[in-house]
Formats: sequence, structure tokens, C-alpha cells
Amino acid sequence: MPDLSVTRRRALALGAAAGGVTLTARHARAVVRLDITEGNFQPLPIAIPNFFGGADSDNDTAVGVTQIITANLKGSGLFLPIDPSAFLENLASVDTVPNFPNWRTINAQALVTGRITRQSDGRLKAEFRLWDVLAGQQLAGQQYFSTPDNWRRIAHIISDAIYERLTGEKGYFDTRVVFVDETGPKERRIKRLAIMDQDGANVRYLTRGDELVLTPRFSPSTQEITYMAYGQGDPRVYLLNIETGQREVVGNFPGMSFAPRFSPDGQSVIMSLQEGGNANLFIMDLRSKATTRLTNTPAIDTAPSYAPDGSQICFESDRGGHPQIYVMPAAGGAAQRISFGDGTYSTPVWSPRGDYIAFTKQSANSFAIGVMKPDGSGERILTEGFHNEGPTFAPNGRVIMYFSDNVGSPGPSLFTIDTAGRNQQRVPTPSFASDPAWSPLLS
Amino acid sequence: MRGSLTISAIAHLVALGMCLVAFAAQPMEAPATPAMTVNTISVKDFTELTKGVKDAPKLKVDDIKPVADKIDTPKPIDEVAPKVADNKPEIKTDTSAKQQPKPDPKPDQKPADKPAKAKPPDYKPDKIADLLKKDAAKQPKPDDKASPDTPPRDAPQFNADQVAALLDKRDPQRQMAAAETLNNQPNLGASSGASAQLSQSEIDALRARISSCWSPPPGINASSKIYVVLRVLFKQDASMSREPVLVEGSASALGPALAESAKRALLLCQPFTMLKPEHYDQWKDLELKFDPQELLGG
Repeated sequence: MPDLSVTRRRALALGAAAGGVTLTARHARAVVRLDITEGNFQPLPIAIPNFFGGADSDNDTAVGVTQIITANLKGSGLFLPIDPSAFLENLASVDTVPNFPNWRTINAQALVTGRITRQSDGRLKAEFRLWDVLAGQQLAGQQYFSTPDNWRRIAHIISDAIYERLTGEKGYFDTRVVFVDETGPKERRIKRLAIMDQDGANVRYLTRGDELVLTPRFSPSTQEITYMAYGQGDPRVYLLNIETGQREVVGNFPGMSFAPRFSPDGQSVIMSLQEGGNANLFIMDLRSKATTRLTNTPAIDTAPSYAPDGSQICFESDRGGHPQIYVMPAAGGAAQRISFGDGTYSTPVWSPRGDYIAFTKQSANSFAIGVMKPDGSGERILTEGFHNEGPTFAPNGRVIMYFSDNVGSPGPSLFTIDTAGRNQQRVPTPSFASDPAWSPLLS
Repeated sequence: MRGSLTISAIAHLVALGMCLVAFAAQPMEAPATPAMTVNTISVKDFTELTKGVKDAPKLKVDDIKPVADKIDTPKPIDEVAPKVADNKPEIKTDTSAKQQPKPDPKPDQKPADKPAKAKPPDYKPDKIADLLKKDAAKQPKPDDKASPDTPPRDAPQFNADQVAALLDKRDPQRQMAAAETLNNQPNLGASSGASAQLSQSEIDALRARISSCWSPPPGINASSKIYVVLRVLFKQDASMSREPVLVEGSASALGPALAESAKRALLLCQPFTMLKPEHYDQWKDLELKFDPQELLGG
């Protein structure tokens, strides 16, 4: 048993040791902190050299993939692909580390390299690496396997991965758009449902054109579309399975049914049903076919849209005299008006991010597409023109597609614009197009 | 007795240890004192206003003229007699003579103390410091004289006719510096003066430069309420000695993208040549808070 008695010497030694510890404590120095509160948004300069082909036969696909990625990133307005003729370095393969000073010289801040190889089992292998030129590091790298005819989708998926890594938001390139394709002279327009990739490729027609179709909408969870068609008699709401082509009527209601939309879980369809001179909102469960009434007003309530969390609905109603936008709990209840500007408001759509409601605003001599916050504040007009209508959000909530019928032009076309009002672009369609609806991300 | 002493000692040590741990040195938040400007002007504009003209003639050593208040044969100030030309021998002027030699060694040491200067400035600090010190040494003398004068005066009895007799008839104490041309402009000032702090204009210039290089992620706007704080360590040439480190930030989905955009801005914009080498101690370790308060729209 060691001697643990506390002698004066020991006490002094302990005290000195404790004092010595305080001397070694770090001297507190105030670090200068500066606030940077202003920035200067510029599209990010990015270099995308042609992807390598695993074999010579893969070179065409590789170049095609590179072009799709470049077009996607440039079209988003957030990136600035650098002209390939300015590149200083010819990389040997996707696995070699680039010589970053070469890329810094041409002012690239990011670099994408990749390779496409057809495997022995017939599948297509696509791989890419995303490099941070300034920091000299790899930011992302992925491999994808798919069937060879899906090469466009692979390019869109890679574009989404790059977009998400560099901006922090989810991308929107691997998506499709369903719209109404219009052909023929103005007095005898043939309208068909059509579906295409968001960049205008792979157009496929879903209906034959022998009946007028309107307002197609995607299901959030399944490969189904709901739309309104003037068949024999009153307009009806239909469900169409994209893959099988099977079609069914949603409810057999007396009177017109129109303006359908899916709920966020994809299990029900909300729509507007005509009752005499009025129209009210109803929800129909797709499994049980049970119908629930949501509004009961002597007015026209239409164009309903769910909030992404399913708790609220925004819709258009003229109960106050002119069409305005109202917000209501999803189970029904008191509706609150949120649009108070000068003009009439219609076609409200709730953003998938939940932060905005987009709408069409019609004032004395123009149509405009705008956004406002769900409480009605912060209204901003994004674009004005003759007959701009029908906004739909991309799945990341940053880009809006709408259709516009310019003065003098024989038919409408599709356009996109971002929620900041920048980067208006035309979406190529085989003929005139209207009523677009953006699908969720396919992957 | 021994047991209680042991327990007491141990308890004291534990308390001391806990205090050391709990009250660990934390950086004192020095609140940024805003400049007293009445106009609201953006940082960038202010720096543009004050940055001067690039092609202005560069001031050379020989151009720096000593202060001169009258035109006479050039008489450098250190030759001017510091004594009071006075009939009343009340004031001891020796003290002033003693003060002057002391400041002299200091400016000589100062340039040696700063090996960090990559390019030493052209002016000679000791020459200017001398002038200033000698000037300053002379100023207080009239004040010193004033106080001993008051007791002999007959305060209650003021005769207006005798105002002339009351006037101070002594020669002016401050010898005017003379040179061939008048020059009452102050000169550049000594680097050893009190202004060796990171100046507001340097801070403004640094912030403007970083702001111009910073491209924030597009999903962020003024109402996003997110921010990141990066710690940056600089080398002598105002480039970063290593990658900036994220020390603080609000939790959000866009946080990593914001931090990366801030790092990219710093990597793009270095070296920050507006930071003066003589203030290196002030700016070698900075925390930069990127807070998109003033971004437009979204």
C-alpha cells in the first residue's frame, strides 16, 4: 500500500502542477471574421471533352452522349460548356488524372470525362468522372449499365448527376413531357396526346386524334396519364397507361368532368365536375372508386393542384366574381384567396418543392406566367406575351414549361423558363404543341 | 486531518480541471464596427471611389518634402534651437531636448523588425519619423509655458488699459520650419504609428474582390437563411497556404453546394494582393462568413 499521505511537499507540488497547466492554456485571440454577403452569379464554366469509346464502334454513341450532356447543361442556363477547340490537353483515357493547370488556363472550373463501352453480353456500359479543376480533385464518378438503345437516357442520367453534384439541387434531365400535339389548319385542328423526352427527342403519340384532348397530367408514381377528352357527348376524364396503352374512364358522372390531376401518392384523382351552371371539386379514389366532394359553391371551381406534401390544394375559382387562386386544406374546408393583383388568375400549379405556386395571369392586353409563394406574397411575373398559358414545373421546382401562341404565328409552341425569370428557351416539337405536363424523374 | 486535506486537494484539482475544460478559450467576438458613412453605398462602389487612379505619378523618395511653413533658406528642423527665446527664464526647456534623441533609435529598428516585406517601401521611415517626432516634441511647449504663467497674474484686478501689459510678449516658441518652397502638406506617416492595423479599406477591397469572384448556387436567394463560415490561412504573398476549411454552417440541403461555391471563389481569386504585407499578422488567419443576405430574387 503506497504512502498516500498528503505532505506539505506533495501539496505544493500538486499546486505547482495545476498552476503550470493554466500557463499552457491557449491564449484566446479574436479571429477576424469578415462577412461576404454579395455574390455575382455566373454560369459555371465546364469542359466536356468527347467521351471515349471502348471500341471504335462505340465512338458514335460516345460522341452522341457528350452532345446530349453538353446541350442539357447549357440549356439549364447554369453551366457554360467551353468550346472543345480551346482544349489544351488530350486526355489519354477516362482513368488518367487530368493535368489541371491545362484546364485552369482555359478558365474551366469543372471537367467531365467518360467512356462508353459495349459489353460482351450486349449491354452498354457508361462511366464518367467529374473533376474540380480549381481544387484538383475528383468530385464524382459513376458507372451505368443499360441496353444499347437507352443511350440517350444514360446521357440524361449522367447530366443529372453532374447537375446535382455542382448545384446541390436534383436535376431534371431524365424526365419526359406529355403534351397535346396540334396539327392541321386552325379551323380543323387535330389534337393528339404525345409524349417525348424533355429535350424533344423520342416523340411518341398516345391517341389517334379522332377526339379533342386536353390537360394531360402525369401520375407521380405509376406510368399513367390522366387527361380530359371530348368523346361522344360530354368531356370525360380518362386514365391512360403509357406502357400498355390501356384506357379507362375515371368515374361515370353526369355532366362534364375536366381538369384532372393526380394526388401526390398517385392513389386518387382530383378533378372538377360540372353541376348545372357550376363546377365543383371532387376527389375519386382510383382503387375503391369512392368519390368525395370538396367544394360546394355556386361558382366554377377548377384547375386543382396538390401541395407536394398532400396537405393542401390550390385551385382556381370565380366565386368572387373573377377567376382567382384559392388555397384549401386537402380534406376540404374553408378556402382562402391568395391572388390579389390586377387581373384574373388561372391554372395554378404547386411546385414540387412546395415553395411556389405558378399561375397564368391575364390582364388587359396580355397573358403572363408568374409565381407567388403559397401564402400569396412575393408575386413575380416571369414572362409576358400573347397567350402564355399552362405552366408546369420540372421535378426539381426550378424550371417551368408553358405554351405560348405568339401573335401572328399559326399555332402554339412550348417554352421553358427558370423560376428566376432567366433563360427562356423554346422546346422543339414536331408540330404545334400545347398543354405540357412534366413527369417526375424517371430514375 | 490528512484525509480531509486529501479530499480537499482532490476536489480543488477537479474543480480547476473542470474550469479549464468548461471555460476553454473561445474567440472573443469582436463586433465589426461599421464605418461612419451616412450615404448608403455598396462596398464595391466605395472601393472604386477610393482606389485612386492607376496612372497617377508614383511618389519617389526625393519627392517627399519636409514640412515647411515659411520660405527661407532651407533649414532642416533638427537644427532649429529648441530653447525658448524668452526673457522670463521660468521654463526649463532642457526636458524637450532630452525627448528628442529617444525616438530616434526606434524607427531604425522598425525596418529590421519586419523581414516579411517582400518589397520594402521606397520611403525612408526614419527620416519621416524624425520629422514627426521633432514636430510633436515642439508642440507641447507653448502649453507648458501657459500654466506657470497664470499664478503670477493678478486675477481679480483686471484693468482694461493694461491689457497690453498682460499680453504675452515672448517670441513664438515654435520655430517655423523653413525651406525653399512652402509645403504644409502632411507626409506619408510612419509605419510604426498607431495605424498598423488592418484598415477598413483593405477589408472592403478584400470583400469586394471575393464578392466579385463568388458565384453562389442558383437555388439560394436572400430568403434562404443559410450560411457557411470558412477559415482561411494565408501565406505571405496573400495566396492560401491550404484549402479553406469549413468551420461553421447552417444545416440545409444546399449547404455543401454553398460551401463548395465559396471555396471555388477563394481558389479562383487568390492571391489577394490588396492585403498589405505589413499587416500580415492581422490577415494571415481569417474567418469568412458567406451569407447570401444581399442576393437578389430567387
